[in-house]
Amino acid sequence: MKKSLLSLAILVFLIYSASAQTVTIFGNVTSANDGAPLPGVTIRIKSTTNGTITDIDGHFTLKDLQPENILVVSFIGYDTQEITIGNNKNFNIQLVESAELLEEVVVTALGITRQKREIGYSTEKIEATMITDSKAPNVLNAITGRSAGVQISQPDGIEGGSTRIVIRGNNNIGSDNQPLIVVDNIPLENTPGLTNIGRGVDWGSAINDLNAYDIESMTLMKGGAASALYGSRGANGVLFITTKRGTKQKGIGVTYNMDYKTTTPYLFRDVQNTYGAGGPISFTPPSFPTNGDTLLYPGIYGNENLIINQAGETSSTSAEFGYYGSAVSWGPKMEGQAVKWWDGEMRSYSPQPDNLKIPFHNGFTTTHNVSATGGGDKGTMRVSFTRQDNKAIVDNSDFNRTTINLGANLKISDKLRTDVTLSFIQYQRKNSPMLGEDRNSFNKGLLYCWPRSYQGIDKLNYALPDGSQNPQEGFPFNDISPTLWWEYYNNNTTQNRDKYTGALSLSYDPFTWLNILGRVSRDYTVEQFETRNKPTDVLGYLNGYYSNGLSRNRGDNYDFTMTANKDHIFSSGFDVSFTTGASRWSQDYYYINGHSGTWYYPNMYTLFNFTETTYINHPDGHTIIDNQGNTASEMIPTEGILRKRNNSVFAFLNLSYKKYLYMELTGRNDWSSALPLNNNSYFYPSVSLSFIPTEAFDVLKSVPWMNFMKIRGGVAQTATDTDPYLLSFYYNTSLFGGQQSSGFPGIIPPIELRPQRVNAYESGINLGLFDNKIDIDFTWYYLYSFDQIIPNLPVPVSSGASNIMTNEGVLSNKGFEIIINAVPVQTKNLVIRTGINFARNRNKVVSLGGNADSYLLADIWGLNGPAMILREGDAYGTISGYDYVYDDNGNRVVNDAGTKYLITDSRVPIGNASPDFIAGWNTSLQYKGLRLGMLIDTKWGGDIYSGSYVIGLQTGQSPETLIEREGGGLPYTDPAGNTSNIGIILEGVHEDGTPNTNVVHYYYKYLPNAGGWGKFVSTPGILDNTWVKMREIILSYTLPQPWIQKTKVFQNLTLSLTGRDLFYIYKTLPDNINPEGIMGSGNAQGFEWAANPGTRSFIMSLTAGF
Amino acid sequence: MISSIDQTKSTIKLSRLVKKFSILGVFTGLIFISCTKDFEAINTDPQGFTTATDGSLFNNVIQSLVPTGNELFYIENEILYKQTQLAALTNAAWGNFTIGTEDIWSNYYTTLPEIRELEKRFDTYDTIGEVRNMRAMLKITRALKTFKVTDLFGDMPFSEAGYGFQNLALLHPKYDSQRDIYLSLLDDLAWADENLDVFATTEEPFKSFIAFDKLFHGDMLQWQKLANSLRLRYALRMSEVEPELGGAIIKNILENDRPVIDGYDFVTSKLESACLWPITAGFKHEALNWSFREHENLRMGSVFWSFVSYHDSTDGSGIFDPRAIIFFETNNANEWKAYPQIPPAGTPPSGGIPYESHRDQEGAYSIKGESSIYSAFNYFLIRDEDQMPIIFVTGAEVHFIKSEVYFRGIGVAEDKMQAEIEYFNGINSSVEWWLQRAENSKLPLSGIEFPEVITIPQWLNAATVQGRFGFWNATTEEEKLRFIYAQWWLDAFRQPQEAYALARRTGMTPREGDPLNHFRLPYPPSEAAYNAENMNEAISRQGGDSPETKLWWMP
Repeated sequence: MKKSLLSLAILVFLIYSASAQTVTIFGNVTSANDGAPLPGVTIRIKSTTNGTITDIDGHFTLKDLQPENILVVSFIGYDTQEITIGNNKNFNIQLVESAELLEEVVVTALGITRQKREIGYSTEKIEATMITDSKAPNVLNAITGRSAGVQISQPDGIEGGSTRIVIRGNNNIGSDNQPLIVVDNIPLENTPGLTNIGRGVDWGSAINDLNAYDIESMTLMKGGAASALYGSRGANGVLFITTKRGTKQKGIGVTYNMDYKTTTPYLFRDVQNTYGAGGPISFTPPSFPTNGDTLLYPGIYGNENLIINQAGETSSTSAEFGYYGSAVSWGPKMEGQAVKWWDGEMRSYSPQPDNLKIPFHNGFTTTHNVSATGGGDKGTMRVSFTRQDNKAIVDNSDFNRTTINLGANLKISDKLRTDVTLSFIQYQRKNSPMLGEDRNSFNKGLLYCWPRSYQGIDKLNYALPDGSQNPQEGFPFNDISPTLWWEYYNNNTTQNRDKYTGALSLSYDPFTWLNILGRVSRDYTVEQFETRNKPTDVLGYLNGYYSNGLSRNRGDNYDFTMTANKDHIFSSGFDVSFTTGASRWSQDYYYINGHSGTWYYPNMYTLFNFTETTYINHPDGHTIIDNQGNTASEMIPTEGILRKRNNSVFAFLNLSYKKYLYMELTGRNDWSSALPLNNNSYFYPSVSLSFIPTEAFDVLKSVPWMNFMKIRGGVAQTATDTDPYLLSFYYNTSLFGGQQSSGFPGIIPPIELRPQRVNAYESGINLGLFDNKIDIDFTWYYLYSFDQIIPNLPVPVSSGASNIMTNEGVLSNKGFEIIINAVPVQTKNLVIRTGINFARNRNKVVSLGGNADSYLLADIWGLNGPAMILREGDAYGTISGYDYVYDDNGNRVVNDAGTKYLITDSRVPIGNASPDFIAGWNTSLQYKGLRLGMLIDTKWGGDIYSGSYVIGLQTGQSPETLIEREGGGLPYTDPAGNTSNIGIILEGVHEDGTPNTNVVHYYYKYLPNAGGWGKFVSTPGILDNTWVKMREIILSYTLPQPWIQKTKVFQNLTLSLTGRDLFYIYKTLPDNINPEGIMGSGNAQGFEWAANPGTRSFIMSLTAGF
Repeated sequence: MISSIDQTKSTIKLSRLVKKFSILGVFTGLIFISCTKDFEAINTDPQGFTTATDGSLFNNVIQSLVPTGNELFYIENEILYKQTQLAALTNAAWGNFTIGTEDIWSNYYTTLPEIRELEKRFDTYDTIGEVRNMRAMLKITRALKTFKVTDLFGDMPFSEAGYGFQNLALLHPKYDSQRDIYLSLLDDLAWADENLDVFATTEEPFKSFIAFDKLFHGDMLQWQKLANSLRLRYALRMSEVEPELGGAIIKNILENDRPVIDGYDFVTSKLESACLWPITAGFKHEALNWSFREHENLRMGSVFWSFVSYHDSTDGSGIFDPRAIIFFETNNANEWKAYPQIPPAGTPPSGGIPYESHRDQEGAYSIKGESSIYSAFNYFLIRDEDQMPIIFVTGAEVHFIKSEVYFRGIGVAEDKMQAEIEYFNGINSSVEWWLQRAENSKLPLSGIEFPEVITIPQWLNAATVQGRFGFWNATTEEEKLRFIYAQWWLDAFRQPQEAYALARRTGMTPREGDPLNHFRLPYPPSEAAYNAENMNEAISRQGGDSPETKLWWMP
């Protein structure tokens, strides 16, 4: 009875409830920024588990609600709103993008997504929009200035060249220091393009192939603990890139992007335009040699007849001034005189203010990208097609790239999911220009070989009317090819790279607490370099050349992981996640390269175009060559094979306690094929902790401005193996006299190799202040890299070898990083964000092991000029060179005649290229659909050896060399008895300590600043290279949604204008020398020699959704 | 109660889990450990040579006898021709001789590991005659290479050098004194003379080994002659400071009539020499051509000219020595014109392009450049990469050595008559040997627009040289000695290092201006950078590192 009564009561209650004032509401959710509908937004009824999500158009419907119910509207990346229903039935909800900075979700090792707050090490996430909006030439450049402690540099060159990225300094003495780049879990081969600091051709690196439009996000894992799970290959940090997988979209789901970029070379070296060609061949005023009444082209070098004083004593130009290039502009004033030019024509000897611009013009890059995306309950898919065409700032060096990308995931069943990515990249490039100090580099010509009076006539007439090469008879310039422009236009190398990457993963959840994941991936690249040098004669034989090199690189990965989760394990406050797995990575590289010989067939670019050497018997019985051609050994193609494999097992354990204490333990064991059997297995662990006091202690919750605090710390070890084929002793072999000639290699192989290791210590604090409107992240780290494998430590060649490979070096890095992000203004329509990052790193060479005192990182002129030499106890980045000799009071010592400074016998440290700090400041303003963004970055401190600066002085091209020539010097009497104000005194003392008071010709001030063919003083080239740069300004406008909807075609439309690399706000280098024109992307950073002019670019772009 | 059941369940679950994981762990572990078995194959360079035959190592040693381009350019062309006054350097050197010293140093020391390896291998072989021959060939070649380097630098790492691959304790070898090096090498050469078995049958390993002998193609007598000729040369060189030691060696060779390289025997021409012949050895001496093509600054000097021509007529009518025409050619106006060895102010500069490859081309042979107003080196001499030999010892040199030792009575009794015979033998063999070079020399595309060989007027021969430099033309004993040295110096035209040694030892070679005060080359900068302690010890022992510092054997 009681039961029946109760049942009845319930029934009545239910009926009552049902008949009560329940309401059904309808609504739509849009973005406050642009009014675009937001699909997938969660609408929950507060204090219940009931709710719904918005559909593809942002619409939702909820039934059976009470007026007093409160809707909680939340969506990732937007501020959560609470709305009381009341009497409304239709809701137009506008969500404002979240300005809170700590709820970020980041991707960590192996692609595992985690809340940033849990992590005990430093990671930084870079959003897709940031990459695409920056319009940087490649995705690495897009990070420039945005990430603390990440130094990104674009070595001298033109677009399409290498980019160097180093996180927290160098951990390797003799090998690459760039981080591992992982794209969709596929490690990308990113060997740096050009590492030579003196000269070479930069064909770029693989990172250039990544298409910014396909990227969903990038995460930088900086510390050892972050990258510990990537093992050997992640020891320098990891850049983890995720590409887009597609989402459900309104409309047909097609997006079109178009960029149009103009690149302008603008930062040309400052030069004087008063005096033209001529060497210091006399101390009397410069004059033209004459032939009768005809003025002839001035000479560069004298012989032994340089009269140096009024007593008639002679010397030679080379004895007085060493070797200098033919760009010397110490000649007569350019006043339009009629001079018989070197080519025999009469020409006007007149100023050429624009001759440094001869090789350059504006460059253009257009990018079109179309992507389609869609999805349903079973999964999503995105396909994209991108085409980029580049016209370089110099002739004949254009490139184009076509990218097809596919990303998809499919839910096969509730427990089984699969994920696929495929991409195909086709890259074609013609002729990357020769850089630096090379006889085929036009930048060398402009700096070192062609004087201020250079008119570029050799560029205009490089070919004769019959199409053959103009040999440029009488070409007066040394150290540069007289036929440079012929070669530039007619000797063509084409690079063709086809890159295929693909990954397939299968994820299986047998239980809710267990996930099993298997993944296979491949990075496959086929690259071809074809060279065709056009014959220089009319018939088509002479100097014709053809070569073809084909290489194939295959990187295969197999991963297997198993993850178990358990929250509140044993009913405690602990959540546990444990992962174990195994992986294999293997690389297989092969190349073959063949070439033609002395051509037998005209105009025939094939490998079989060669001439056989024929012999005849001389009457004496000797065999002599009848027809000089090619021998068989010259014609054999070269080939190379490189193979390596790493196998690994790993495990990691994540523990968290009550959402305020987190711990991660990792361990990994690698087996490397490159290490000896007894040392090829190596284990390395890491531990990191993160503690959130604001969650743990209630007392902190009462501090109104302190919303969040996290203290974190970690200790990790990573280990790296080395290059293959170092274990066996290999003889060098060649042919001599038709027989094998076996020699010893130049490097003594290591006796025993073991992996090199880095111990990384890191701690930091995160603060969220004032409603999380200010986020502060401070990190301190210390890296101790030991057992360094140094492939080529120098030993005296009298030992029989020039180098030895050792396993003993030690490096240390310590530094700190500060990131502050703030949202000073946030209203419904206006959001202003700003962020600063700042990093300082000190990199020290602790030890090189017992076999050598110094390690030569790089130099340009062998033992004659400056070099980057690592010595024990020195900072990495120390520049050494020949310095002035100083007396005890710090005065430079000058010779008795007062003409020359004495210089040190050997190279001594004279500078350091490591910056004091690097920093970036970005700020953005969003007002409805309008966005204005700005990025300023700086490299503060650190020296450069600027070859352009010292050669500018030596050759009399720099404006400051005008001072004495224009009469601003001291009275000086030349050997002919003329007195004029062109003298100088070299400030300093003689060896006996008396101050130098000898007035000498101004040549002695400028010419010895640089040299060649003999050691020369390096100190004048060492300059402080600090700069602050307006890196980018972006203005974009997204059309309001109501306008868009009227079109019935578009779903959204954004127009933007971006300026990149706009100008230097501050720089310390003189003469407009390009502060970022540093040669090479290797470990030696800090040398500049004949860099390209700085460029800036403007990009107009359009994004339309259909 | 409930919680304890739960706990038990959890424990069971956990133990299952642990079990599962440990099975998996072991499984994966096994997979990977077993996979390391491929590592050795993966890590083997399919193109790497892990073994080398004795012969191929020896071939490398012989190959290293070919001087590098930098040595020819920066040391011979920039320094030695100028210092010996065999030619005139018309434009100041860049002073970048360190490129050359580094090359000489590394050419020598990077070949030592092959030599040390062969020495180690030979120690394990039987001491039969054939193996003794191999050992002797190696010792002779090592001596040839070492003498050359020590005579340029002085003290140098030797006894500890080249062992870096065998012993890491010897990565920074100490310097041996030049005297110790000399005595040790002369002992080696004496050993070679005693032990060479010229009748040895060609059994293994000797048979395979001599198949690689690019120097004498297995002719052991030639090796023996080279050994004794070198003994004569270096014994005489040190006899100024060690007359007894030097004299004993000379005496031993001459009195026992040990075989030496023979140039001329009164009337019979032998014209022997120890040379590496590119065409027969099967290589091209490209560095020779390069070193002149890229240099362009050497011309015939007035000193040389005065020893080959009676007067300065530019038509060549004063020439009495055919070697003038073999070594040099006319200027752009087809005139014989020497550059003043000590140029007075106002000397017109030299220029032009006399050594460039355009002269190989059809019709371009005669183009030497508008400003090429002095006689340049004969284009054949510097361009012929096939027939022009790399000379180690000529028969003429041995005659001149004998002439000097008889003339001065070093190790043997003074015998002016014998000295004169050897002197004429020397002139005869030098002139005829060089005439043979001229006749065989050939340019790459010869036969079109320029002469196929160097053409020498018929009337020029050894007799015309003797006509000018016969002993009977000398007025004093000293002048006779000077005649010997002058002809020796002329014969060494393509061995400027030997002419340099002669000038340094005697101070009596033809010369204008101040006496020679350039005696050695400073040590290469890499030694200062990487072996400073040992190098500095050697420098202080010798009294400096400058070119003015005299070597041990210099009087």
